[in-house]
Amino acid sequence: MTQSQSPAGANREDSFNKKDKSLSAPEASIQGKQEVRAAVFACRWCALLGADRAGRERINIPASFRLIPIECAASVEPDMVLRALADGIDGVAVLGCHLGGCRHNDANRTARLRLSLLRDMLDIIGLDRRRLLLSWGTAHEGHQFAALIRKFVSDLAELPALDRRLIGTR
Amino acid sequence: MNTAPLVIVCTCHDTLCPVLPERALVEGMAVRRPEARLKFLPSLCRPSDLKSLSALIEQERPSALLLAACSPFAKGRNILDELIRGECAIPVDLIDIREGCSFIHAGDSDAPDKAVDLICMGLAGLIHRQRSPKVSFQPQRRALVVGAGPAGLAAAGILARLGIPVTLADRMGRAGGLLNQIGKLFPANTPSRELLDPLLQEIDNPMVDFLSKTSVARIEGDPGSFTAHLVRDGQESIVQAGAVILACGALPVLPDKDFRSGEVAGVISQLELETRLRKLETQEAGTPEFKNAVFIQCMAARDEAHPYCSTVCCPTALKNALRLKSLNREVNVTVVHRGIMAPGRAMEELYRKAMTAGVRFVAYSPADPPEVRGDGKVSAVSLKDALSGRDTLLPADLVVLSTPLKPRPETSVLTKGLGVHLDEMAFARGREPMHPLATPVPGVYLCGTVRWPVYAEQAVDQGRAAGVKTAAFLAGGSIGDLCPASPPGPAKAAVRTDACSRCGQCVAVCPYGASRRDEDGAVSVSAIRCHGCGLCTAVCPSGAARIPEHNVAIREILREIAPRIAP
Amino acid sequence: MDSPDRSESLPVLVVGSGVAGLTAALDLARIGVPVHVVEREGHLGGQVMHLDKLYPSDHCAFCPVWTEGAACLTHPLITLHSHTTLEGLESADGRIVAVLATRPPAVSPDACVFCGACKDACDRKGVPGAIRFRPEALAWDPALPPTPFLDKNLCSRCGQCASACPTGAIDPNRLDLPARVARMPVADVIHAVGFTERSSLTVTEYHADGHPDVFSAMDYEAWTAEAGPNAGTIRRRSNGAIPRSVAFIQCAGARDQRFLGYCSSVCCMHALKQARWVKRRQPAASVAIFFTDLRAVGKGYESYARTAATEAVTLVRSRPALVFSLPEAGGGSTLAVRYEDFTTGKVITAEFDTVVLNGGLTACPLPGVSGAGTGNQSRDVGAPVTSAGGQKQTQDPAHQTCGFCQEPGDVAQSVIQGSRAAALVAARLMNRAAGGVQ
Repeated sequence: MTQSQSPAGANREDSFNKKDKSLSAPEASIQGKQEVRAAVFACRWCALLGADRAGRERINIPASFRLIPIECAASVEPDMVLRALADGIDGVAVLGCHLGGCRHNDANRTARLRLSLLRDMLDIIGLDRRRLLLSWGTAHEGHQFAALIRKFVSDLAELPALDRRLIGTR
Repeated sequence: MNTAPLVIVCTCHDTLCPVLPERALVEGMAVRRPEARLKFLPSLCRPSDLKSLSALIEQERPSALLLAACSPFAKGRNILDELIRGECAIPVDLIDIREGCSFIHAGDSDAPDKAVDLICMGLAGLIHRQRSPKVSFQPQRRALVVGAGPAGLAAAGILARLGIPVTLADRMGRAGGLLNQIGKLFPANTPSRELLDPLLQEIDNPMVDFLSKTSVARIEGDPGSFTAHLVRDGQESIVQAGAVILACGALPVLPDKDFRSGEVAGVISQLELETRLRKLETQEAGTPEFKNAVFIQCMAARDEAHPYCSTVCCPTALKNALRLKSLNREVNVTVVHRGIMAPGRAMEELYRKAMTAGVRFVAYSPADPPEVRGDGKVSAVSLKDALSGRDTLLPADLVVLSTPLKPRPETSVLTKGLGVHLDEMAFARGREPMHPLATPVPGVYLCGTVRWPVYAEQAVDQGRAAGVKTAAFLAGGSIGDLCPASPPGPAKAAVRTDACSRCGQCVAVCPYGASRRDEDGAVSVSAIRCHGCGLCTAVCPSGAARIPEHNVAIREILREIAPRIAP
Repeated sequence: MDSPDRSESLPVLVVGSGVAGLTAALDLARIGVPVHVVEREGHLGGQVMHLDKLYPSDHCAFCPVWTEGAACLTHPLITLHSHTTLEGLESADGRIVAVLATRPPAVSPDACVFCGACKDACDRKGVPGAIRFRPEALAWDPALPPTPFLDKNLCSRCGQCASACPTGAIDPNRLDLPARVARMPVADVIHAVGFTERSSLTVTEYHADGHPDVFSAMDYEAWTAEAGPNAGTIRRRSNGAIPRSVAFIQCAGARDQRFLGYCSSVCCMHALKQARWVKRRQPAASVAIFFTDLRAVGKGYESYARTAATEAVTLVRSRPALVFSLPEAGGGSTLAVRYEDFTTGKVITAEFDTVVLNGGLTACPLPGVSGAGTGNQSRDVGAPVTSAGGQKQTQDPAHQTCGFCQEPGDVAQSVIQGSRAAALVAARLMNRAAGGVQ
């Protein structure tokens, strides 16, 4: 949607219809999309509050992320992240509590260890580490949440499109 | 019963429409989920709305109900709670399309598209989310208090006064703990009996079963039904208790060649001075046999090996300096310190009193520690004054080393069995800062120096506080306080034995000690301990550890986000 | 007439809903004692809600508190009276009667749906800025009714907000209504009124003629807070520039016989925390703490202080004599701190862009407790309740105090005090119910 979209975004046209701006909203929603799609796992003790505050303060954020509240960042399975990427979701963000402020007795430290390793693996297998955003306690304010999401979405827009021909083969 | 789910969209008095037009949502949903019915209501949160909502459910009889309204932190959670309280028989959930969509995507043509996605995600969650079985919790109405120092006594006393049976166990033959070695208490120089005696009176109560000379070897079991193995005179016995209060205290560090103690005469510990003072004070016109006393603070504390301040040593030094002064004003008392830790009102007053009484204070820096001089017998303490930078020689015929407190090694046996963690210093770890006396394991509380060195009076306060927390736990109400569950109720992990490879990874990572293995290596999860954080499900290599509310639902929700190829 | 069960069912009054009051209320309610909580403000949490971070975990301050607040709001045995003060305690028929004064809020938290229509209307047609989403300097709390906040002084009472509100929740005229006074019999009282920051700026040698870059510690916390006006960026108040250097002066107005003789206990750790956060957010800024004794007494505090020292926070053992403004090149002025370097005996004047004065926290006065002036109160107030006729009543029930109004202390200490007060009150009520009336 954003005009500032990078050339990489334009590459997606071959596999997807470019969205016609003249279409009314419902029609557009039925059409295929070429925007970045991000899944954001938000710990309900911290980042979910940030998301809520962003809403309360009416901070404008690109609409291309989908928020999934979870109990703790530690519950995000690496498998789940890979599956999301395989499904064609461009990036996954895991937003947890401040390290040292976890409600589950420092479970987020364990999560950080595991998911950092997964980030390295994303580089190794040819996806980009930037597709997995990890953030701890930096999303509890509305403006922080908005900044994180904006940055993440624009980072994802710069990455080459995932090969969505794989979609549907799962 | 209609098999299709019902989606009720709250338009929040038509404030939603500019960003999320009704038509866009209807048409979007018609493509994505034709079977789901969509209803629009102007408001859901007025008292009258609940009635119309119930009427609508009655009329439509859907298989599941999804509310698309505002954030749970605004009114959403209240509406959901009301519905659940009203015993809404069908699965119900809430998604936030106001704070989470219309408010943040104003003027964005993708907003309706996102709202449709959010509704579909909500439906996926609603349909695929399973429920953990309900946990029944009936704690045994008895508390075990380990340690009968001031904290343990206060805890047992308050529990008895609140009508809860208590087993109070102490290794020693007599209650009082470390206070038995201390004659007078700072700041007011009150005899320690004055603090202890009322506490001892309180535990002289049929509710309290005081076991002296009894040590607690280990404690097993789960919140609500712990089993403690007690040993008295080599004989083992068992006590069942619903809750445990650890009040097993700390150990005073005794000088071990620090500042040449043991090598030259006249270098003693603060505890030894305490004993001498008690003798001197009870003698008629007792006169100290020394003229120049030098107190050295921060022995074996606040250094690389012991990076903590033991809290009690400064006030103790101030108190004993004043006691020396009041015995004989001619005695020169110098406190060699690294900053006098006398926070608050009473301690600062004590500090001022010591200064007024003529106690001298000289600061040193840890880089230039004081040196004890003398052959065979102490003659002086030399140091570099940290404030003036000058080398100073203090004549001394008595050097008193301020002794910190250190964790008891045997505490770790108990905490390990209970699933409680220790901090870097090996003191027991509470849930700082809002629940410093509670541990991640419900029903296990800390008080006194087992958590951190405290003043005797504060130890009593902590005992009271831990006591009331225990009473609340045993009343059965606070099992969920540790981590209030999100609707529809607490999620608990479970392990499918047929899929489990018994690798034990879940047991290793569980922050609550909920996952555990039996003798055969089979893994099970204690539902009382489990808080549903999901760490075990994330590490399980075979997908055996699962949270019914979480795993399948999240996968289905992710599927709703995945892009779809245009038809 | 007064049966024991009747006195048992009377609620305990908790005055103040800071961390101590919240804990006391929850502990009592969880063992079945009904509680009424009186809060002066429209939100729970007290002073902690004005903090950005908590030491020693560097945890966000609101986070641990809001779950407690939420539990308090939803507990069936707890009744909250917000915008209410305790005016006094009376005695009638041998019972304590609390006199409560409630000022109805302009925005009703029950009716408000947080849609923001009032703010839009006010900004467009009324006085821009009169309605805000949260009071300034408050780490807004989602657990509590997050109603918009109507500034009494800015509001023109034009009524645009009231006509825009879809639920009739807002009425600016309520701002001018007198307080409603109500009397309520209570079983016992727990005072948890907390502290106020006795303005450290009254220390004349430090305030540099009211220079905008001289802050009190709580002001600085709000100024630098993630939720504050600069969204976590460290700035100077005078010109919005990034400060090159920040000085923290400890014991400003405390441990000083001219002001407060005692030590406020929390300021050393508070300064260390703020210094670390300044350093973390503005690594180029040089940060110095001028202290008397660095009192890092508490669980994990020494390690915190040691880490601060390794993070290039300069710790100077000295009590500065003077803070004054220095003209800066290009207009404006910066600050200078004059202090004695003890190791050399030389008097040094160092330039700082921002000076934060720490210390001087005083307990709030306890309403209705005779003889209770300012300053910290004894633990058992043992309040002689003044009856209508002016006679003194007996010591029972002896009110409890907890939190900062009893002894300067931080969150961990205050919550223990809160639980302790709850324990003693509960035991006393239990005793009274069991013992019955003689």
